[in-house]
Amino acid sequence: MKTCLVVDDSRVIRKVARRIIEGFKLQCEEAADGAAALEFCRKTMPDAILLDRNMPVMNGIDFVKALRQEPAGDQPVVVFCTTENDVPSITEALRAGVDEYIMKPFDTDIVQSKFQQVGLIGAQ
Amino acid sequence: MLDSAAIKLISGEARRRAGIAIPQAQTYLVEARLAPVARSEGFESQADLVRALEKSPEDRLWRRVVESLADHETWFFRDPAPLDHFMSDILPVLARVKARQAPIRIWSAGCGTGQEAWSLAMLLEEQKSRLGAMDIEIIGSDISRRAIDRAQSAAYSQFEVQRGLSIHRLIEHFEPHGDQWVLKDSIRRWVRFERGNLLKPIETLGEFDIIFCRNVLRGMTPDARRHTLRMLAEHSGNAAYLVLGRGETIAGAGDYYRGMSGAKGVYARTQEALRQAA
Repeated sequence: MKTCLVVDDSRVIRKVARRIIEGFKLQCEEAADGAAALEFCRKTMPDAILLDRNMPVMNGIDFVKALRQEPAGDQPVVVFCTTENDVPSITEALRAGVDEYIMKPFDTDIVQSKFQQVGLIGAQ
Repeated sequence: MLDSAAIKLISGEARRRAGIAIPQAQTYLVEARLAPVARSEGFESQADLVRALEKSPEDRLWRRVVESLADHETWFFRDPAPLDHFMSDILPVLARVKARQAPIRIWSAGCGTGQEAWSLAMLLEEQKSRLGAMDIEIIGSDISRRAIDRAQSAAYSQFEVQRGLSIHRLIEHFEPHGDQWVLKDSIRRWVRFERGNLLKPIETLGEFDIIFCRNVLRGMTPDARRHTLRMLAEHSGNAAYLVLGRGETIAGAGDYYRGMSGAKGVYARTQEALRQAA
């Protein structure tokens, strides 16, 4: 079973994301900020990371830059998930190393479509 | 709530005008689709709208009602395998056949709000250096005036641009405009949209080299399906292809088309069809 790490400082968003991700038959893990997520990845590299942008301690951009420097840190598919929907913010995130980008608010259809595009789950 | 007589009237007209099949079990759909039509036409309820249609059958109002019943749900790069097959296998064949003497013409038949036509345009734009000076036209057509207006606007909501479209394609081919994302001119120049009913010959459209008619036939009555397949064959050139949606077949098309090995949902027009058209 593939593992997806949800990184978000909002417990509510993590809960919503978990419900969606478990619906795709992926195993879901949680972290509340980038530093905790990095710690998790150093122990077990997940297959996918659903990543918030603005978080205390370490934000999403700094996390993905650090992750990509780690051994095997190029392996997880990183899907950014944020309300910053302008082209410069998107470009910045792609340069930092994210693979896909979800603009909040999101729903199951959007997460499913993005996860299919990056090959995490099969087509319906 | 609509009574069964009203549902029967609406379904009958949808079948007659557009070949739309409304299964008994989906009559709730009629109510749901008619709600916004009734509202915007100034009626209190769907029942009032139907009463007005019974009393004075105004063609414009009937058209709107029937158009609202056609299925417009679509998204970018929906079921992408046939699109990729077109780019890698069919387009090179057409390029050889045409030998730059005539444009390669693509039809997205029943295009809804246009995402299929635009997806093809994005693929062509991305591979433009490989295509060289190839002259290619994409036409999108749909029975719904509203769907065609939306397709033509090339503007999509944040929700729509996240279904099927990668973030890389979004920032490459779209520009934000208020809360919408609008396709750039580099994509818009590939496609032209026209309103058209697949049951009626659209003579101005001319001949096509490949027709994408996906997820359209499945909402039709068997008669309308046969009729549409024949019409598509008549709009096909000498070496032409037809692409249907998942689960759709050419059953009822007689010998106008034959399946192609290795490409699910892709059909080639037969010589028989050419003889019959001649």
